[in-house]
Amino acid sequence: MIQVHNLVKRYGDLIALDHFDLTIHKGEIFGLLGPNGSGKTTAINCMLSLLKYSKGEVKLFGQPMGPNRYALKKRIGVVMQNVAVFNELTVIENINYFCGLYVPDKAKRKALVEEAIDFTGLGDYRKFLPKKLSGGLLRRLNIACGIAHKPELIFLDEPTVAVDPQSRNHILEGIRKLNQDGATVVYTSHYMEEVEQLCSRIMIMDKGKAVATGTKEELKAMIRTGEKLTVELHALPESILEEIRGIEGLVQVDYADNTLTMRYAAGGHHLSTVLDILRRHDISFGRVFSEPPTLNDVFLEITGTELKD
Amino acid sequence: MTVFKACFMIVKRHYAALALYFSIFMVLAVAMTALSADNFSTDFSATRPAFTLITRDGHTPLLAGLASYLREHGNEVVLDDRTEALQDASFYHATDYIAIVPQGFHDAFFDGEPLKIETVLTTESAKGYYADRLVTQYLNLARLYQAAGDIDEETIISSVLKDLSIEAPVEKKHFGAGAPVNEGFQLYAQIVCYIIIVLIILCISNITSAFRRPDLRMRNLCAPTKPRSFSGQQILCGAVVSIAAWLLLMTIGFALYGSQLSGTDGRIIGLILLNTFIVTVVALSLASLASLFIRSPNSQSAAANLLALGLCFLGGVFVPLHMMGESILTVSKFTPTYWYSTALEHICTLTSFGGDVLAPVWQAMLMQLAFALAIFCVALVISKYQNQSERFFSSIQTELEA
Repeated sequence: MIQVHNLVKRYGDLIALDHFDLTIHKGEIFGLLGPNGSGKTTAINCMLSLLKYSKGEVKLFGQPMGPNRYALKKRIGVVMQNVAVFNELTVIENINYFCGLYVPDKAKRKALVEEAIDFTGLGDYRKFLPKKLSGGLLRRLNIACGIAHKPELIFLDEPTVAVDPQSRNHILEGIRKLNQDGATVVYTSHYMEEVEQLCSRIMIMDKGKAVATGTKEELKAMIRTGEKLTVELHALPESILEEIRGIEGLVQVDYADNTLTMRYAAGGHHLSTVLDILRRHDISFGRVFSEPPTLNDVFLEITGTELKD
Repeated sequence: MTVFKACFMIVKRHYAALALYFSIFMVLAVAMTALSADNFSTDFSATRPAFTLITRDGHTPLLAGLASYLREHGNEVVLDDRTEALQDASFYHATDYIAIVPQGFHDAFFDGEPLKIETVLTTESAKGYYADRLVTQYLNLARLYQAAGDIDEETIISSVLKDLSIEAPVEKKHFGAGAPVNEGFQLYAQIVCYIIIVLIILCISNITSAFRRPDLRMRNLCAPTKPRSFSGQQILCGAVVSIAAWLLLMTIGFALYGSQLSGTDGRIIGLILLNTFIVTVVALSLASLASLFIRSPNSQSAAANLLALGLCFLGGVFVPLHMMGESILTVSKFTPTYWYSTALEHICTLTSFGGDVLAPVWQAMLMQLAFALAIFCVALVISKYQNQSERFFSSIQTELEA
């Protein structure tokens, strides 16, 4: 569906995309994950030919993409990072306008617009001007304008930024539904939970480069750290902490603020061993948390920096 | 025609603001034309001054003839020969002219050493001077007859009155162009130039500023519609809105002054309409250029008014061209509104439609069209430059703001 080969994009001296390669298959929800400024939006803009790139090749639907490839553009839907709607037009007029750029037939368009309104749950707001909508509803309108014409390939650039949890869930459910209906989705975000929850394959980007690509399981398997265990304690003598540090397979042990944090090597499970040591020394403990590795851990291990802001 | 329809909806959303502007302008235009209409009356009627003849020399045939002559051309106001009465009448404009004939006037007149008639003229009254001229005319003619020789007083008076009663026939004729253009309509056509420029700049800048928002531009660029089609549909909408504004303003003009234009040659009306249409084209090109620099909706009305007021003042729309100094006139020739005013002035004074007579009109109209073309070309060049740089800039912003 999308093939990007050796893409280089420069803004003066700044290299926004550094020999970037990407392949997305039909029917995927592909996540581009990375911190702000990592090159996600630039990559999308290059794929859409909104930006000229210095080097490389972009193919969509097996054909080279360019600013004048209107036949390809017709099959694509774009949801911009910023809400890109006309402030002067109502919800229904905005959707009808953007759908009209792709679907000239009035009757067909009317049905598609209604479908998009139902899909995004904007039925009660069809006559509202954008300024009367909340942030979440505006984001939904932004999505409706991008998907009303039923594109085969949808680019969603951070569609949940500054959205309340209810609207976020609505949006994520909608994206899954679009994918089930046959659309291939390219989804960018710096919210790793969202990407993990939604995407079938993920690319982690940093400084314009693709640092890792795969399913979330594949990505987590790439790193040596595994499950993270947290135990709440009243007190922990140094000797017992040393004993715990001696357990084989633990890569990191910290104790601070009455909280013992341990990180296992990938595939390791030593909860019972740790709890046995605590019981043996009559150390009373409170709540125990066990967390599988996250994409942040993957990012941290690969790049040495946190993915979170 | 999706873009075309969207442009219309954008203009429609700003309907209230446009209607407000339109109403204010219309009230001003109508008020100005109504106030100015009095100064431009072309009807003629003989003026009849109010006069008072005080005679301290008794009733002589000479003075009786004078009184009779004055009564024929004016309205007599009888006053007592008291200083206060005469002062009051003069102060309160009860009479325009008071003539006090001194004692011994008759004898002195026929002795060839006439005494001076004391006169009081109401200040700033043309009627008073007119009455004084009537008196002078009568006495001069009487003196002429008296100097001629042995003619008795009765004959002199009757001859003078007979001579003065002779009137030259005056016939009002119009050559070719029918009745002259109603001055109110002419002033309306002059002021309408300002309204057209403001309204069109406001409409076009509303459309342009909506479509030039970087995020919307990017979304539109993703669509399978050619950029040329986007621009074409926007220009088409601008043209339709401009023509609609022109038609509306012209209809109002005819509704207000139509009845007073019935005698005017249709060709003159046609030329006025053509001239206003050409200035509409100029306004459209001005709007396409101005809208490239109007970034925020708040600055639209300020920019529209500033540009329109500047051009109209400089171009002689509000201030007649003949009242402008040479240096200002030189500068104003570089404005399209100067050529609009010049064309209108020529059209309204047309009495025939020969090639030589119409040449200045065509020249002024062509100058306006040349301005429109030049401004439009500049707008296209700037727009192309801005599109390229803005496209690049907006994308960087999007990335860095992420």
